[in-house]
Amino acid sequence: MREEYRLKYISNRVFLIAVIMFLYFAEEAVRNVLLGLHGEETMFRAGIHVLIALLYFLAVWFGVVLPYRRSELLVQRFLEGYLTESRDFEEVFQSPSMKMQMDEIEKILRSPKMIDLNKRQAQYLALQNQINPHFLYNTLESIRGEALIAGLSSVADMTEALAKFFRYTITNVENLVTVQDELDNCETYFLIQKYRFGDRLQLHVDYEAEDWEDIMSCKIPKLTLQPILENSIIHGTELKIGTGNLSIRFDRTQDRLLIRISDDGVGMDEETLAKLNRKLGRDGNELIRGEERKGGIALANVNSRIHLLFGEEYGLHVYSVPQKGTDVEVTIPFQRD
Amino acid sequence: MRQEVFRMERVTYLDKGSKQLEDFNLQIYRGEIMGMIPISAHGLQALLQLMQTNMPLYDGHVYYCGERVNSWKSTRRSVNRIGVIDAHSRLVEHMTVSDNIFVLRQGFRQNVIKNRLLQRQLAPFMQDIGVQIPADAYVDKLSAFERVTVELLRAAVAGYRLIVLHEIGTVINGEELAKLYEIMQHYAGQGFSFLYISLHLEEIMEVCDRVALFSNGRIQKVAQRVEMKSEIVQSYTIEFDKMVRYHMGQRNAGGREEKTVLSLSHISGEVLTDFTMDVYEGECLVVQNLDEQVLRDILSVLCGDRKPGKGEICMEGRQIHPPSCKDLALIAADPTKTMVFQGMSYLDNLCMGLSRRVPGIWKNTSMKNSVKKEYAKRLGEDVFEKPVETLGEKEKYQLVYTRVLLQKPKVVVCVQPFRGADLTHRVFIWKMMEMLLDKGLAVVILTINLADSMSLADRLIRVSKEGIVQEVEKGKFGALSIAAPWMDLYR
Repeated sequence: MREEYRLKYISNRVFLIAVIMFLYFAEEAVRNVLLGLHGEETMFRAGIHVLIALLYFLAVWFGVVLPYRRSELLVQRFLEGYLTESRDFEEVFQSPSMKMQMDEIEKILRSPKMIDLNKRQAQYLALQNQINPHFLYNTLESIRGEALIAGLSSVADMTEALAKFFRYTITNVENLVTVQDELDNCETYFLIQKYRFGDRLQLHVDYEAEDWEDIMSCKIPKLTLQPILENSIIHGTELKIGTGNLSIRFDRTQDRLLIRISDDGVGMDEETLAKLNRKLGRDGNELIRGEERKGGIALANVNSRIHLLFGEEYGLHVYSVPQKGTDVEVTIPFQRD
Repeated sequence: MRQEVFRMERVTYLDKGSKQLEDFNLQIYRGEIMGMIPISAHGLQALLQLMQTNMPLYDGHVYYCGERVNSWKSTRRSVNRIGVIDAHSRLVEHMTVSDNIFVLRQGFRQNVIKNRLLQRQLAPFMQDIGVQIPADAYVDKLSAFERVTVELLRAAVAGYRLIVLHEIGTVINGEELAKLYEIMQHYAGQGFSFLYISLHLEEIMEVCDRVALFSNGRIQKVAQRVEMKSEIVQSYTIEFDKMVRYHMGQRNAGGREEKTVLSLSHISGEVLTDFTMDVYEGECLVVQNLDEQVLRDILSVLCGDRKPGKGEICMEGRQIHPPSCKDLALIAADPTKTMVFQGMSYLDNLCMGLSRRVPGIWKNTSMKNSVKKEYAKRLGEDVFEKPVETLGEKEKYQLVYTRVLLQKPKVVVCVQPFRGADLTHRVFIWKMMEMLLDKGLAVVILTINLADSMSLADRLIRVSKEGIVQEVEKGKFGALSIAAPWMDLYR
């Protein structure tokens, strides 16, 4: 017998009892109808029995079976890593203690600590090391000063960009920043990378002119764009021979902001892409589940923070064509305050 | 600011436990003509079904006109006001154009139908799009283009904000397609949105603002109009392109003798009168039917469903009666659905063509085993053990074309061979047809759209209700003013 049908589970035992009860009511109804047809019982009594059997069936079907199936589906989804909210269970809780259990899980998942943990993770991903920021700024300023004295303006500019990038990454602790701030940080980051790649790397920013001001003042989670851009360079264009083109395109609709970060790098195969999108779609509560992290950490982190802040309807989606490039689409609610 | 008309957000949809769409994202904006190229069509039917009806989702959300209409959390099983137009008519036959457009519309509350009033109401719509279709014409008498136009008008009048056109290029010809694009652009200007699904990038580039590459229930890439000519989008057709170029070179190299194998003389049908055509040995003849009814007429004569009127059909000078002629094979449209017989074994399906030459094949086990042994090298050992229901699309195509090969006819008539096939299968069909040509068989392709067929053609005949309007030899293909791929190779 298949595991899910075994009688060791309470649900299966309840279902079996319900079926036996229904068969009993159905048998009573049929027997009374037959007796009624032979004139041994009144048709009214037969009708009452049919009605009872029907009502019993409807009550069990709509009151127990369907909610139970939905509850099973929700638990299944939760186990597969989809973000499930306590309110999704509202009409299908099997007991008060189960409701309390779900509330507790949600509290943990959506706690400020969790958001903070994700944010910190993003910072660590950006820096890769825990460095004392003041020591770092001072050192970078000193290098810049030395470089200027020595007439090495490119070294000075590079150091300035690096200091600016670190300052933005570490010091601003708020959750939401404007798109303008994020874009500035991306340009700073890109400037640093340009010193490494030279003309092999190009960045284009694309938008509808009429929406530009609205888009720039829109609030998005801090460190949303830079990790994706970094990902595009490291996993996309860096592995490619020749010039790598990166582009950031902004679009706004009536209620959403869409940002597409594209590269014309090596892309990924269909299977890897499916795995990555599955990971992003299921929110991957990795911090709790303790799953081993392999690839796509930056994207998963950005996605996770967007989910926690705005809900599961928003987040990241990746499109990719092998050997041709990758697009990462970020969807965020359009909000300015 | 763009306005979203339709959005599918991270949709995962299962049908009988099989994943049709996975993490599927799609946005269509107001007034936009969005293109879609199905590289692999798995999940495409499910997508069309989900767009129209809100079926239970495994994950994700669907939005239409700013409202969430479906979600994994709750499904209303309601119907979305999205029109789908494809090769099959959705109009009610034996009713007039105006009845289909107005009377069958949701919310039509008049108890007495005033035909003149409806005709007056329809006139400005027709005027707007520059098409003249009589309002009182019965829809079953309309041409394919008129039928598509009426379906489009019906959707527009009913206030459907999104209209899906699925492989329309297979039912209407190039000139009509250009007219349809004008109509689409007219309605897009009025705020209607379109999803134009086609396998041909040339068609998409002609009319669409963006294009989505659909593969195995996912969107692989969404390209803006400026990106359509990019390497990324073009790369999908590269293999096909290379193959075609190679084939053209090969076929150009070999000369042909014009020995007539099949001739249709003075045949007539429902709309066709006095039609004459010769097919030469080993050639690939493309017959473009400028009207769908013409195609049906030629087909019904070749199938033996209709007598050829005063005319006759001859094979190498001898008169034949098509269904019983072993030298003439026919591959119907959508052969994987119409020519694979479920309930029969793979081997029996394969031997069907042979039964015309060897009547006792069904009881002759040793002969069937010989066929199996011979063709196992080409088809693989495994397929013979599989029930035909479980065969993949590619295996079904292979079965049908190999069956024809086994029959050893002199002429093979293929009816719209590329219709309904995704990009991967098109390449395969193309190879199968090339295999038939390499064996020295004459291949006649009956089609409406020239896109894929032109790459194989040695000769083109364009037929309308009035008969042959143009006959072009391969050497003069370059002078044709038709928008089909690889035409530049002929110029």
